[in-house]
Amino acid sequence: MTSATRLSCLAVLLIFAGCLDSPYANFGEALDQTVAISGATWIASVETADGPQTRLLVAAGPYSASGPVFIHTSVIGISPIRKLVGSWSVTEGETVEFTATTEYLLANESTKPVISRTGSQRRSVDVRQSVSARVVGGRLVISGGDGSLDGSYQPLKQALARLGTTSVADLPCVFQVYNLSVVSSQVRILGFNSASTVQYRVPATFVGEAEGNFTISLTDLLAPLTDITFSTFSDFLGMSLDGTQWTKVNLSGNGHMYGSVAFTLVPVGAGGATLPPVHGSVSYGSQDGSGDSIRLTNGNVTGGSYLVSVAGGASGLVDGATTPVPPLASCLGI
Amino acid sequence: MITPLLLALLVTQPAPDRLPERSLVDGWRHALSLGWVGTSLWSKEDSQYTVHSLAASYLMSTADSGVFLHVSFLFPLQVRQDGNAYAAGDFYSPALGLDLLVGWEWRWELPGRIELEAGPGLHASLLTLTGKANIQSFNAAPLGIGGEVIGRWRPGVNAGGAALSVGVVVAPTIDFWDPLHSSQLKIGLSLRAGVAVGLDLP
Repeated sequence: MTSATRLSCLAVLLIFAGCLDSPYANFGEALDQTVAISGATWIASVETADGPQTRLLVAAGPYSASGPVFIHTSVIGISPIRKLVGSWSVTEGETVEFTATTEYLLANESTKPVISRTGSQRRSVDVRQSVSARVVGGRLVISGGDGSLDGSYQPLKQALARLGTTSVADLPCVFQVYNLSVVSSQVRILGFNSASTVQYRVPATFVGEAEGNFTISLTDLLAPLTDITFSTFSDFLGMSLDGTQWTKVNLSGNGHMYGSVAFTLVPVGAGGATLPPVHGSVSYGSQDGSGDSIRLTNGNVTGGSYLVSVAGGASGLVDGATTPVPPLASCLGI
Repeated sequence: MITPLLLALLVTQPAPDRLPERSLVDGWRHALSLGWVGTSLWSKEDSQYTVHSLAASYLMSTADSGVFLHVSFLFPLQVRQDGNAYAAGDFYSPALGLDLLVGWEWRWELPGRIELEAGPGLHASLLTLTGKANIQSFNAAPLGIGGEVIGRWRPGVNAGGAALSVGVVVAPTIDFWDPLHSSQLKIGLSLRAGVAVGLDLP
């Protein structure tokens, strides 16, 4: 079958499938509208009806280069993920107003066929939340508004100091910490986790909110191979990624992942003392999908394992199909 | 047995002065057209997307009452959304489209060697604007109904038994569904207008 014939077949399939449902793209809109800010990252875990939600707040000071900008990321497992970007101001005393102007959202669409998913979306919003913000015992306690920002936040770097790395039992924790940066990147890739990723036949680069960048590209429309390459990528100061993950699937989202991504974690002690950085890597499998390679069915991880290795520490497999235990809140004491 | 019978018929049948005359508006029509097409889509979120394109079309119809087909290749030049206008070439490469209109037409003869053709049809269109680096790509495939109106004038030039004609074409459409964005399209409208040069076969 020639490429032209295959493309024609795809076009016919798409038309008769009749179930692609992504929103129309805005004309002339940049894919990457990342606001890069320099500010401390705070992390909290909050119980919700859908499970424990990890919340990360990065806020730049009023005199920083970006001005008083905040980015709030919340995630349950690997989705849903929501990211709010905007500005903050102290209105009086302990009352802080967060005004979000951009919202990123990656819903949990694991039960839908890939072709019916909307994937990661970005939209302009005007979400104002007036909350109480107090620093209590080194924690930033936020409450009020609609509750979506609530939490007892700790400095991320201090929480990282509590992450075990020497035992195989620590590896699910290490993986969950690593994956925070991954999911934070995914929610900003418009159309991610949907058929709209065909957009990335033209590679696109997204800068990290803290530093570095990542690039996504896709080749072969009928057997999509997605390449996401991280280059000193960091959305949260204290955690960065380097390396490439590949995802090779068919039109139904069945396939496997491979590649390896290195990570660096920079913990600090309670007194602010810098601790030795933690270096390691997460391997997704082999190019031919053999062995413990992460397997995907309908775009969801349904088998295989992540090989998590910590330099000078533990190394082992973390099951890809089950929720890692213990939960992140226990791993980091948040 | 049959041959003598046929012979008898031929002999006894009076010869016609000439063959029955076909209608002047009958026969195949083939034409190439160059024109403009404006496509507007309204999303469920009340955003209006408009694409102005150059259209190069092949127009065909079969008889004084018959099937017609318009195949148009679109070259988007300008896109507009909610009051903002962008040169397509600044943001997209390639920016292409394909438009099909197929239906049933009727023709009428007017004074001055002018022929009018019009009819309703089904409409399918595909717009694919591939974003340049860091620009979102735009794709749409609105489906609906439409119609054509063609006016032809024959200056009296013949070529190989066919009459040369020049004319104008107008084709409005209204679209209701987009399989690439199945729940997103509220309504779509398009209008194509162009000039045409063609051959009218008897």
